[in-house]
Parts: sequence; structure tokens; C-alpha cells
Amino acid sequence: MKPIRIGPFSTRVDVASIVVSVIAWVVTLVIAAISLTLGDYEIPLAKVLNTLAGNGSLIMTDVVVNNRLPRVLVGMGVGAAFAISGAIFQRLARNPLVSPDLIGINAGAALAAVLMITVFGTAAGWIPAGALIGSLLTATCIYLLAYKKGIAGYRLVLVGIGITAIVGSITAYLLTLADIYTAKSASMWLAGSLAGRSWPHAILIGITLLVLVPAAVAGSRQLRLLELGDDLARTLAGRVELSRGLLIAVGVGLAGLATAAAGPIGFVALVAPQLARRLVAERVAGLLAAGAIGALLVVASDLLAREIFAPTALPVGVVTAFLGAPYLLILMARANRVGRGG
Amino acid sequence: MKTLAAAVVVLSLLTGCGGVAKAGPSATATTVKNCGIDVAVDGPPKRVFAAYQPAIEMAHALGISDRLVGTAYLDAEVLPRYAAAQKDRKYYKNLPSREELLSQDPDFVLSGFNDVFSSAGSDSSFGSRKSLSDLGVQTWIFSPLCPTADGKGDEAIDPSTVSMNNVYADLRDLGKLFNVADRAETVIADQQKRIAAVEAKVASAPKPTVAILRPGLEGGGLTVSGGPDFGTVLIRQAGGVNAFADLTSKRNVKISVEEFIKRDPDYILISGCCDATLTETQVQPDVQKILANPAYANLKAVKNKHVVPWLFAHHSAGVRGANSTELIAKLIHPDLVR
Amino acid sequence: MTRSWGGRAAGLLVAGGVLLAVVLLSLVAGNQWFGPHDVYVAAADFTGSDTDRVIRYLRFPRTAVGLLAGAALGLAGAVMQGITRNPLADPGILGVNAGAALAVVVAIGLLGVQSLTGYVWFAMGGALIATVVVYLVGSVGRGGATPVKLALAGAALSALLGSVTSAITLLDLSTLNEFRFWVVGSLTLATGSIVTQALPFIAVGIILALTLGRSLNQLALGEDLAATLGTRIGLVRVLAALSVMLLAGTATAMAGPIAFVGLAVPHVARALVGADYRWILPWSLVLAPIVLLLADVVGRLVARPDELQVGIITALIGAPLFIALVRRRKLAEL
Repeated sequence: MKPIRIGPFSTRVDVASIVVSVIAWVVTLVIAAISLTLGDYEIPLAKVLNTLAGNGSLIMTDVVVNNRLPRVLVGMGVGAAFAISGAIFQRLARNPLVSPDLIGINAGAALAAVLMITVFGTAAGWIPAGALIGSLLTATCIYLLAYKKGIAGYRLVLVGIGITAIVGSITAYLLTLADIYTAKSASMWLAGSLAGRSWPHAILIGITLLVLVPAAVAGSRQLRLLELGDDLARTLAGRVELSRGLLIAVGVGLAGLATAAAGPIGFVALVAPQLARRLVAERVAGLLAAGAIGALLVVASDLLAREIFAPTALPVGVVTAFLGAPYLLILMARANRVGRGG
Repeated sequence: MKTLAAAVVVLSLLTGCGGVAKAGPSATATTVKNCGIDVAVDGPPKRVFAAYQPAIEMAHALGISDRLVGTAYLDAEVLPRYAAAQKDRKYYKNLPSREELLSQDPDFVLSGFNDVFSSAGSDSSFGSRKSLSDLGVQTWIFSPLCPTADGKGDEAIDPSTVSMNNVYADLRDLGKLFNVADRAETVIADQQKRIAAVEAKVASAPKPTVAILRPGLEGGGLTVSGGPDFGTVLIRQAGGVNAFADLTSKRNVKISVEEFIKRDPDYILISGCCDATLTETQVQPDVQKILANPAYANLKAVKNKHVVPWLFAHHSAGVRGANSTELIAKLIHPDLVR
Repeated sequence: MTRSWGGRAAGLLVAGGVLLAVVLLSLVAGNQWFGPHDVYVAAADFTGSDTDRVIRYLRFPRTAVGLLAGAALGLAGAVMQGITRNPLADPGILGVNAGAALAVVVAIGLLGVQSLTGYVWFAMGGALIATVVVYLVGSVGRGGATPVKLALAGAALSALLGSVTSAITLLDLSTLNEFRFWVVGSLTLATGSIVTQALPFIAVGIILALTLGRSLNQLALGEDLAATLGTRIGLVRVLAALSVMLLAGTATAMAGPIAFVGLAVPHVARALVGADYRWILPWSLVLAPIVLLLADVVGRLVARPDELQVGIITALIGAPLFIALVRRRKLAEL
């Protein structure tokens, strides 16, 4: 991450966040490797490696290279994307509870996806595109409705809650129209799932990260500036609104594309930046450290989701919710006590 | 761990064998079109995976029971004449994952419904038909349920394909592919004869309306079989009319309770589903619910006790066609068909 | 509208008349339209015809549920807005409905509870726990229970409870099948017996809530001032929580989680009769069923031969109002 040079502590922050990121990525890769060897089609590690090297049979190549590998890559990618998006939103709103889950962006993506699955019966390949359009439309709606001589964090949140309610109720209605099996696969999607994710999804999220993460990191300078408070920032530059808007766009893009690829995997955007912040022992989380923790969370949760009730696999979002929920409650109480809740 | 490793070795051997069997063109290479996709085999498939009741029963009807390496998701008990053949087959209560499917090393997947290949990101999807044929696994969807494009599901059924003739066409094509053409013709002839017999008896009789109703949460709306459902065909053959044939948006259509009362069908079939041991007896409680609901008390079907337990399996397209036609005819024309 | 005692009382009478008209509309409108005479026949001179049965066994219960659930949600919303001094309070926004919903799913899906009297206790328990958690989490720290903190805590808790609910429903197809029809919020789930089972709970909740008017007025002046005026704040909070639990919990058990009625109606009442809770409460009681029943009638007519569930309609009407509220006021006023 680009060091943010404010005062004499900048170097320490940098080192800590790099160390945390590296450790998180190493653990993520180990879990990913384990994930590659596990599944209904049992393949030992040696064969997996052999297959990855291009020497596997047709079916093993399909299982390892075309199914498990993209699945785990999508898991890492969306984990990082959700977490970085969450870090951006939490910083912007100066509230640790603000995440794309809660302010309606994911709900828009979910509505679009459920619409495509249940009403149009769209082939799987097109769902990401629809989900992306859904999240962008919702985000635009929220932004426009919350805009009133500038964007206040609290208004963004409350408008998001309102939009979530409308969009969520339409989604629920669509589920009642569908066949129960279609409703189930739509519900799986709604919970956030890596099942059946393949290379197009992995490539989608890869490109997303390549394009948007540098933008997010570059924007984090201004972000830091914004965190000094609107009054101060306003005196420094008139571009506060512009850079806020751009950062929101980057955050929405990350969350929207991640949701497009894997559904709205809950609580990652909320929890990962907080965990990263605590591990780095800084007031704000470095984006890259948050991303690393996010990737770790999703990949580890997916492994759990596949193994707990095996052979029945839960969607990964259910596990992240179980892990994230208690943390969220503690966080809420704590954040409010120290006065960051409102 | 040792057994695990052993299993893997065995599996990889099997994989190898599959490869050998497919190597080189054979005298019996056959290509048939199914739902717009070319299904090509070099010889009769030897390792067949049958998903859903209609596919499982059709495999037994064609006499290829011993080639089934796996069967999945029965909606009810199999027909008595297939019970013995089904008993020894590997059975999955829920649809297996693609990996599990592949681990059985099938060379052919026969599916009674279209959703196993609609890959809308679920753990119980086998993946699109193309992705399977890339691995040398040929696939088949029952023609009356052909979606308009690979990977699509129920909402994309062309209603004109929903007919017994398409079941026969499937039987013929599968007979060709599996080199059991004679057996297929026997099955077709039997079905045609029995259905024709029923149709002859009920030809001039008045046609009562029949509704096929899925049980579910009371008051939450009702789900009935609409026009594209195979039940429409079966009811017509039995000398009746599907009371909801005009609702053609989907196979299963949701309607309000008031709409159901307005239509006042002569017969109500309560279509129970989805367990390998399910019989009509287990659907009886849902029948009682309808009979006991005062809102329905004035319905013709309720007053005449024409609310009967039924099975989802009965109105799926497949080799149950003749059997189900006879069952419905006995019900709605008891004086003509015995 | 006049703010005099007589004016408000007369207005309330007029609103009561409108409610009666809407009740009649709810009985005659739908898939088939009937006349007022048909309603009379179904009620007093039952012949057993389809018309009689549709009115008596389908439209009577759904109208009764609309009346009860509407009154309950409107009143619960008004009490919540008063006790939290928060114009954004609503059983849906603050996670109370989500708590009741999860509890009902647990009761139906995991414990096999079937009857409303069985799971109404779960619904109320879930509602109570959610109310307390949201209030506790939202009121810790600087500034007490500010609107934003409460709304956020409610949204967060709803998200959390929703995930648990989806985990339970995803593991069992038949629970999912029942749940998806219940969760949209609909007046058609109820039968006559459910109405009679729910009636006592709602009645107690209504009586409790209506006694709170004076105390809520004093609370509106601030807790310190209210205390010096003789309000026992602790007791008022307990009574308020109890009434919200009874009202929102039973309404959710009857009709599923219906959002925004509790939010919108007290605002309309406030606009009509001013900030006096002694009037806001009874007005909410009368206005909310009008809104809910009208929404239900619209839902019956727009999607034939199916119906649009009432919860969808209220969300489509209520959420824009919520957003308008958020836009209109400054944070300090919220």
C-alpha cells in the first residue's frame, strides 16, 4: 500500500499493514490449496498438482482446473473486493457499521439477479451483467436521493435502508412466483454462493480488482483528507464532493462486481476492514490489509460451508453471516459507546 | 485414507477404460438431435446416469437398467414393474454435484427435466450440456421439456412440443442410441395401444374439467398445472380438460384462492411430491385439508368428493403416459373406463 | 384541519367512517366484485353459495386480519416513535419484524409448531428480543438513541437475523417453500380461527398503547423534564415495549412482516392533528387499517389471476415516504 505520510508514525503503519497482508495472503493460499484437493470427486494433492501442471485426465482437468480453481479464485477475489469496498464506505461515512450490505447496493444486485433467474430464466453467464447493472442503478438512485447540497453520511445510510426495503420486498415477491427449485437456486444466489463459479467469473473479478484497487488506493489519500472532517477539507479544496463521488463509485464498482460474481456474500465488507484495523492497530484500516483479510475470510468460510454439512454444501454467505453476526453486534455496541455510531 | 487412495486409483482406472472404449470410430456410431443439440455416440452408452423419475423409469422401460451407474431424485415410488430393477441401483436422494456425477464416470446423462443443465450457480447443477459433452459425456433432456436454449429451464418450453408423440420420438431416438430399438418400439406400441383404447372409450363423453393442484401453505396462493404442463396432455387423452390450460406462462402457475373457486373444476388432483417412497396414501392429509376448508365446500369437486390424492410423478412426461391416462380416465369416466 | 378538541374528535369520527367504507370495499372488491347486499347475505343469511363462501371464509378473515394487523402496526409505530423520540422508528426499520420472522421460522421449520397460538409466542419473543437488542445497541454512547444509530442498529440486526433465517430455510426445501410465501407479508394467510386467536393479544396491546399518550407527550419534552413532571420513565418504557411486542409480534405472526405501515401512518396522523400523542395514538389506530386494507385491495386487482401481496404494496408506498422524510429534515431534527 502506498504509505500515507502523516507524522512520524507513517512507517510503522505501513510495515504493520504489509506484514498483516502478507500473512493473510499466505494463509489464504494454504486454505485455497486445501480447497483444491477437497470435493465430491476425491483427488489427492499429488494428482491435483499434476493436473494443474497440465497432465491430468480430461475429467480431472475439468474438476480441478475448470471448477475448483476458478471457484477458489473467485472466492479470493470477491473477498478482497467486498472488504476494500467496505473499507472505503466505512471511511467515507466515518461509521464502522456502514457497508454495502446495509446501504442497499447489494440489494439492487440481488433483485436484478433474482429477476433474471426466476422471470427470464437467463443463462447463468448473463447473471453477473444483470447484477452489475442492478447494483449500479440502485447506487445511482441512492446517491441522487441522498444528494442535497452535498452528501451527508447519515442520509446516504438512511436512504439506503429505504431503498433496500423496496428492493428487498420486490425480490421476496419474485421468489413467491418461481418454482420451488428455481426459488431455491435464487435463494442460494441471494445468500451469496461460490457454487458453479467458473473462469468468466474469475476473470471478471480479476479485472475488477486490477482496475479499481489502484484507483481506491490513489483515492485513499483524499480519503485521509476527508477524514479530517468536512470543514477542514472544504477549506483545503473544493473538490471534496467530487472525490467523495469518485470514491463512492469505486466502492460501488467493487461491491457491485463482487456481488455480480458471487452474490451478496454478507458481512465481509463490514467485518474485514474492522479486523484489519485491529490487527494493524491503526485508527483506519489500510485498504490492502482489509482486502487480504476479506479474501481469507471468504475462502476459509467457503471451505467450512462445503464441509460442515457435507455432502450438502451451504452457500458461503451463510457461513460468513454466522461468523460475522456476533462480531457485528459487539461492534455496534462498542462503536456506539465510543461515539462513532451516529 | 487408504480406502480413499484406492478409490481414486479405481476411479482413474475407470476413467482410463472409458477413454479406451471411446477411442476409434465404431460401426455403431450414431448421432441424434435432442432439443437442438447433436447427441453423438460411438457405440451404445455403457455408463448411464438417470436424473429424475421420468428418466429413471424410461431407462428401466428400455431395458438398460444394468447400464445405470447412478439414479437421482425420485418424486414417488417407481412403477411396480420397475421396482425390482431399481432396487439395486445406486440412488441419490438429492441431485448430486457435478463433481459427484463425474466421479461416477458416466458416458451418458439422461434427465427427465431440464433444470439439471441450467447452470444458474447451484451445487445441484450438472453444468450445461455442452460442458458435459466436452468431457465425452452425452446428455438427453425429455423432448416435451426442451428449453429454447442450452442452459435455460422451464420458462423456455415451447408448448407445441408438449405431447406424447415427443415421448415416442425420445423412445425411438434413445432406442437407436442404446441399440435397443426393438424394445423401444414395443414400449411405444404398448403406450399407443393403451392410450388409444382409453381415447376410444371416452371419445363421445362430455369433458369434465380437471385441476392439478400442488399442496402447500394454505392461503399463500395456490400452484396449479398450467398449459405447458404434461398433465394437460394426459387429461385430454383421458377425456377431460385441464381447468387451467389457458394459463400458459409456466408449467406451474400461481393463482389466487378466489380464482380457483371461480373456475370450480369438476375434479381436483392433489399432486404430492418428492420422495422415493411416496405413494398416494401420504397425500391424503392434503386432500383432507381441501375437503375441510369451508371456503371450498361449495366446489363441485368437493361436494362430489372428487378431490383425490395424486402424484407429481404421474403427470411428468415419460413412460407413465399410458398408466396416468388410464388412471385419470377411470377417475373422470368411471362408467366408461374400468 | 382544526386542532381544537372538537375538531380532532369530529375528524376522528370521519376517519372512522372512512375506515368503515374501506372495510366494505375490502369485502366487495377482488377477483370478483360483489355488491353490499352479497356481504349482508354472507353475514346474516348464509346460503352456502360460492359468493357467500368467498365473502365469509376468505374476505371476512382477510379483512379482519387487515383491520387487526393494520391497527397493531400503526399503533406500534406511533408508540415506538414516541418512546424513542425518533420519527424513523417502525417495527420494520428497527428489526422488530425480522426478530419475529426468525422466531417464526425457527418455530415452523425446526420445532414443527403449526398453529398460530403456538408460534405467536415465538413471534412475540422474537419481537421483544429484537426490540431490546436494537434499543440497547442503538442507545449506548454519545447522544443516546439517535435516529441514525437506531436505524442502523435495526438494519444491521435485520441483516443478521435475515442470514440466520436464510440458513434455516436453505437446508430444508419445505420450510423454504412455506417461508417464501409468509415473508412477503400477506393478509391471505389467516383464517377465521387465527383472527379469534390473535384478537386478545392485539386488544391488550391496543389498550396498553392507548394509555401511554400522556406519558409520551411528557417524554417528548425530554427525559429530565418528563421526570420532573412525574413521569415514571422506566415504567413507561416497559409498558411501551410490552405493547410493541404484543402488537408487532402478533401482527407479524398473523400476516408476516409488513413494513412501513408503522412508519408512515403516525406521520400522517401527526400532520393531521399535531404533536399530541393523546391524539396521534387513536388516529394511528384508525388510519393504519385504512392504509393496509386499501393496499390489499390494490394488490388483489393488479395481478389477476394471482394477487400481489400487501407487504409489497406497503413497501412500494411506504419506502418513498421514508426517503422523503429523511431528505426533508436535518439530522438535528431527526
